[in-house]
Amino acid sequence: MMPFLEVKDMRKQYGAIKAVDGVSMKVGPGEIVGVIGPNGSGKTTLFNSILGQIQPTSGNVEFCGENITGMSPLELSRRGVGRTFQTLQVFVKLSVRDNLIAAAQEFKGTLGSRLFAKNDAGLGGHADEMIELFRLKHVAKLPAGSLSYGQQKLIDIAMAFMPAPRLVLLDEPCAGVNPSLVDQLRELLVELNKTQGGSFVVIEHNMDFIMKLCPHVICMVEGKVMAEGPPAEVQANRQVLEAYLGN
Amino acid sequence: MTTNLQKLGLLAGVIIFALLPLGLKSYGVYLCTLFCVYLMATFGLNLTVGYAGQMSLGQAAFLGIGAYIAAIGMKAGLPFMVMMPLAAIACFAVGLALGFPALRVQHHYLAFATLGFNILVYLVMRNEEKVTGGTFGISGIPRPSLFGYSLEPSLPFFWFTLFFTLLVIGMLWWLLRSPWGRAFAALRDNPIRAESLGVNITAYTLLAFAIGAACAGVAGAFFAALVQFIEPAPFHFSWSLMMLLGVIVGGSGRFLGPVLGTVVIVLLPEWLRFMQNWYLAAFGFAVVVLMIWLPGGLLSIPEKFARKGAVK
Amino acid sequence: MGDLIQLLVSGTATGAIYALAALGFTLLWQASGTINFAQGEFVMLPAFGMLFCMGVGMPLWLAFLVTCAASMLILGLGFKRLIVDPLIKHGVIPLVIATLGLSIGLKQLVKAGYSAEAHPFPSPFPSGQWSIFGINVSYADLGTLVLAGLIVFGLQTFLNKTVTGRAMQACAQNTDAARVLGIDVKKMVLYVFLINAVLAVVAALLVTPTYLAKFDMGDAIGQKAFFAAIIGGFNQTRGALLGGVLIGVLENVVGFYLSPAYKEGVALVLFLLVILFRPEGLLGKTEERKV
Repeated sequence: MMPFLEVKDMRKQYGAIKAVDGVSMKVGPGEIVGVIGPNGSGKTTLFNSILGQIQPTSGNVEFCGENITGMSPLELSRRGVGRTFQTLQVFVKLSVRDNLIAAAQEFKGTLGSRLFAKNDAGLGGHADEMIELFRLKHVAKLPAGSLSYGQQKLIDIAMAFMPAPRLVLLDEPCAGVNPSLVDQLRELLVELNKTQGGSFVVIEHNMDFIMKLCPHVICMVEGKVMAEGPPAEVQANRQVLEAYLGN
Repeated sequence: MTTNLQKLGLLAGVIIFALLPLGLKSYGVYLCTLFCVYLMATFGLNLTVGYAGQMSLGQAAFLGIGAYIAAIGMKAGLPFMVMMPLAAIACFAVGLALGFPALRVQHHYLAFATLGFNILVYLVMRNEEKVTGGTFGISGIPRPSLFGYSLEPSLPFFWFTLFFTLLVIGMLWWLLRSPWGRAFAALRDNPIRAESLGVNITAYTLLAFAIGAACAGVAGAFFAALVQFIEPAPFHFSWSLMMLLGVIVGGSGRFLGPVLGTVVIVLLPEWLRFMQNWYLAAFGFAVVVLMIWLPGGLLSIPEKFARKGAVK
Repeated sequence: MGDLIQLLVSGTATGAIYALAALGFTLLWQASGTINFAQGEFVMLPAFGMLFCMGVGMPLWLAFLVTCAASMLILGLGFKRLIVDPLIKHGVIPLVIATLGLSIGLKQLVKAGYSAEAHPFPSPFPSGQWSIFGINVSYADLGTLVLAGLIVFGLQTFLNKTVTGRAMQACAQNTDAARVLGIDVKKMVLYVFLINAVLAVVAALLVTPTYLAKFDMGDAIGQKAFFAAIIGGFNQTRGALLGGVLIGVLENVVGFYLSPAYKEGVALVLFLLVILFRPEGLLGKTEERKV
């Protein structure tokens, strides 16, 4: 069976520094894969290389059999690949609802057809559903920039899911989010995975979150895959423990 | 989101403006018509500058291109209702041709490209005597006639111009109400995120620029029919700066900003005429003071007072 | 051949004047993001300022010094505090419009308040020519070259060899980093405004004898300064110099060999060529698209 996402021997070098040193991974449809590793292990660089934000030194990325290596974020969005960012990237002046609609409107029809479409491009209902799911109803009309960090984080993640992407890469979704929200976030992701059926690849430092969310975990250290498998296995892996805790 | 009261107020304003010239002398009617002409041009410029976030320093060139196309055509006997759309299409095409290479380079290069374009177009207008009449211009441009009625007298022509001005503004309103409006807001707010969400920034800004240019083209056609004699001077680069000034002073990116902006650049100098030699100096310094006090333009006044109220 | 060299020399001299105005313009842009549409008027005002001083009896050198001081105060400190500082935090465009209004205001103020006519202006250099190897070089051109050269050299030395100068460069390149390093960014930016004010006065001193003092003399100079800055490369101070000199030289060459009517078009053509084929400017570095 053709893997949904296949990364083949990804390498990214900055001069003498091998940020990503030969990483290969496979993600099946609907799968949730976690990527962990100490700071500087190359996780975000790996993401950026897959998502066309930076050009890999060598290596291939295939999505549903198509070679997407080095494709621009725009082209990837068109193919149903989405991402969230480590730093918040919401539209601060737009309302929450407008943020969500903006996240998906460009995938409906063409530039020309959108000129004649309704104001919400037919996405109003879907946006309202997301707002319900993410429990943002009470702030839906407020500008996103006026909300708390945690709420903006939720908007950010909701935006990534608005176009019902087939593959989403989430870069530290729990960063800066208070602990009570983390569980809510995990439940949201599980829910979205069920209803939309997309695959997720999640970078996180919050071990508890990853272990509970991802049936398959990859651990990266110094640009290489150190261990992979079910969370309990990876967690117990001696090399992983050493990488995190030092000798 | 306009409230019903605001909508009513706008309607009232339009009706008052439509009836105003009945009580004015011919120069007053001329000014009102000129106001409409520049209103079309500045609304178009606001789309490019305020909504798409691009700097255009060439709107006067498009005004001129529209004017000369209309003038040459009408002198050759072609009807206004043919030349006016032609002017719009021509300016749209030129806008695409100019914007396409410029936008692919870097953000502020459109500013330079339009600046160079304006200066070049002005020089061509001034030098190509065979086509444009050079500094002598083109005179004796006829007023259009509609279904047999001549629009030669100033009042009917004013209403004719006002009608199309409202049409142009209406089209822009409709454009911005569509998902395009949100795309513009997104690409100004966070271009990186917008792009990753599929917003084709190059396409949107290019089209905004071309549409803005087309609006100036339409305005130019009406300008030619209004003043009935055109020469290069009103299409000098300094007028592009004036129109940009109007858009910013009125409130860049606010839908009705150009209304106030056009009042400032067309009507304010007239009202200051009593100051004789000093009126332009006063105008210049008034702009400086206005920008310092209201960097968001005149339409940001309500927000300023709202904020003051909130603080108290 | 002799003609050509003469053209080159006088062209470089004229170009040096454009370069001074362009240099100030570029420095302002780099240090504070200010695009000063009133740069031409910043040259025009000191011209009239010096005329006024001489009118009350001061010799040229004193008028120059007094005008430098006044210019630093009004067009340097005043401009920065009253106009740039309140506006820069709202982005480039409001400031651009404000300088546009300022340009109109200053121009019309001089026209209405002082005079609409062109006034003669004494040259700081003796009249006459110097003959060397059969080539005639006017003292004015020579003097301009020497003075402009000294100023540019002095400025470059200041910027590169002194602590303050390097601090200013640091501010221009990365304001936040400079602040973190303890550099008083506000003061450094102020210095740039003061330098621009002085450069404009020098430009006025050098250009007005030839072109006469008129309320709208700033239009041509401002435009050429702008073009010179873009042609040379907006993000490089040496670019302003190259741009200015290039315009000056080519204007002279074209004016002599082709026709004086085309002289005015030279700067424009150069500008168009540059933005078409090398948009970052001849010496400019391509700005990276920030992801």
